[in-house]
Amino acid sequence: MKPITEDDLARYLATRMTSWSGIRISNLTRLPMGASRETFRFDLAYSDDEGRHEDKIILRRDPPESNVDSDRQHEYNAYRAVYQRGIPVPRMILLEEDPRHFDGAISLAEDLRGYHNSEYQIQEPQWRARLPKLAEGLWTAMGKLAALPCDDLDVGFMKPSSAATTAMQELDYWEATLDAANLGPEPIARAAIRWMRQNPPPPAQKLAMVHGDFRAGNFLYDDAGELIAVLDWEMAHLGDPLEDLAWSMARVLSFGKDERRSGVAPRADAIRIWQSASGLTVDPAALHWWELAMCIKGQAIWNTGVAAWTKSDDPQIIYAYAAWWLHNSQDRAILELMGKL
Amino acid sequence: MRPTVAAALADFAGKLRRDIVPQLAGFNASNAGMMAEMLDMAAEQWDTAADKLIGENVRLRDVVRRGAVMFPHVVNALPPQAGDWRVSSLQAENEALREMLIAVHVAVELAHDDEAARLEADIWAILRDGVEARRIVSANF
Repeated sequence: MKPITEDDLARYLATRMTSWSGIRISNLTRLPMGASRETFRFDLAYSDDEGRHEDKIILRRDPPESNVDSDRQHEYNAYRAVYQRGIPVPRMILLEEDPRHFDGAISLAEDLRGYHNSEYQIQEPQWRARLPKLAEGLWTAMGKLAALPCDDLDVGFMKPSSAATTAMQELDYWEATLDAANLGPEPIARAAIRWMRQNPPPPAQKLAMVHGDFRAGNFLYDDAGELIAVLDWEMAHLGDPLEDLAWSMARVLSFGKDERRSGVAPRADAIRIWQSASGLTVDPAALHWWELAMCIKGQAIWNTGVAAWTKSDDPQIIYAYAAWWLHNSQDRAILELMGKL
Repeated sequence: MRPTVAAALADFAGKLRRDIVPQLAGFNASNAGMMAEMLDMAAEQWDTAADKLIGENVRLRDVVRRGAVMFPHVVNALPPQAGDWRVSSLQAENEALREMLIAVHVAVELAHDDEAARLEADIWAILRDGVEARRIVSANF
């Protein structure tokens, strides 16, 4: 893809933001955040009627090939839907869908600097004492999202769904994604899909806005372990709130390599916090179904990453890495959930 | 090849992590770190890859053959054995057998008799053993 330069950005903003003058871009850097989108940060200075401003900005750009079928507009609107609704998220600033400007659609958002997002850092011994606070922040924010009434949110850009249909809708989608990646036979995932179709969960307790990738690594936290903001909303959709809880339980994303889910807290603690924040009750059988469904989602994403890596003129290392590192573990997680390990 | 491929890759991974990654920042540091991890995984799997596939293909072939006897409408003919022991040839045989295994697995799930139950247990055992054999040391699970 065409490199993004500070001059390109300054020229674009001068055209787009006609009330701005003296635009200065500096310290443009690509960040290792978000496997599905390119993420950059830069410093922006400009003047308008209110005076001189100096802001810190995050830029995300859609790549030509991704492991996730989403786009700038979708994530931008998802952030806006929950902004100032009790879920801490950065403020969205600008959406440019015309790919001609930067060789792909971009969005700009406020950059909350000085915080951490590493899922590995919190596995270090000195973070142990702060994990309970992180757990409260993580599953409370998830529970609050589950509790938001969809009718009050601007989610018209999302694919319609219902409490009765979301489970099979999601399973159909991820099975089709697995098919489309077409990396070879998946006997373990296929057996799980057959089981899920024969043993559907009850309808969702409510239709909710689901983040779609709610886990360690996708939120910012401070030195005290306080959750600052939830990031990476490109897979947000309407669905069963248990879906987010199930994804956060994923073995393959439990970075402590132990019983702490998301590398943060034991399963029972996560469920307790989520129930308290959401006001919903976890049906163990339904959660088990969704955990299996999230394994299919994971396998579909890792395989789609390989397909994107294979097709790309400039393959992203993370797609190859994720597939090598996660594919077999994902199969192992399915075996565990099906009682076959 | 001397040094062995596994030893060389493991050494490269260590040097990348120790000497190169600290000199980089942000996206480039992350990429170099992932390359080191991938070299480690390749070093880990290199020496045993063919052996695992040969052993698994024998077991898969046996189960698919039993499935072909029980469900002739599902399995017409077994795929040919790999013509050589290159990993790519063995992998192609493995995938052809796994494709048939899925068809046999569907058939045994619908059969509801003791013989089918025994075959299903053997299918799960092969799948479990294959996953355990492919475990990566650095994996979360």
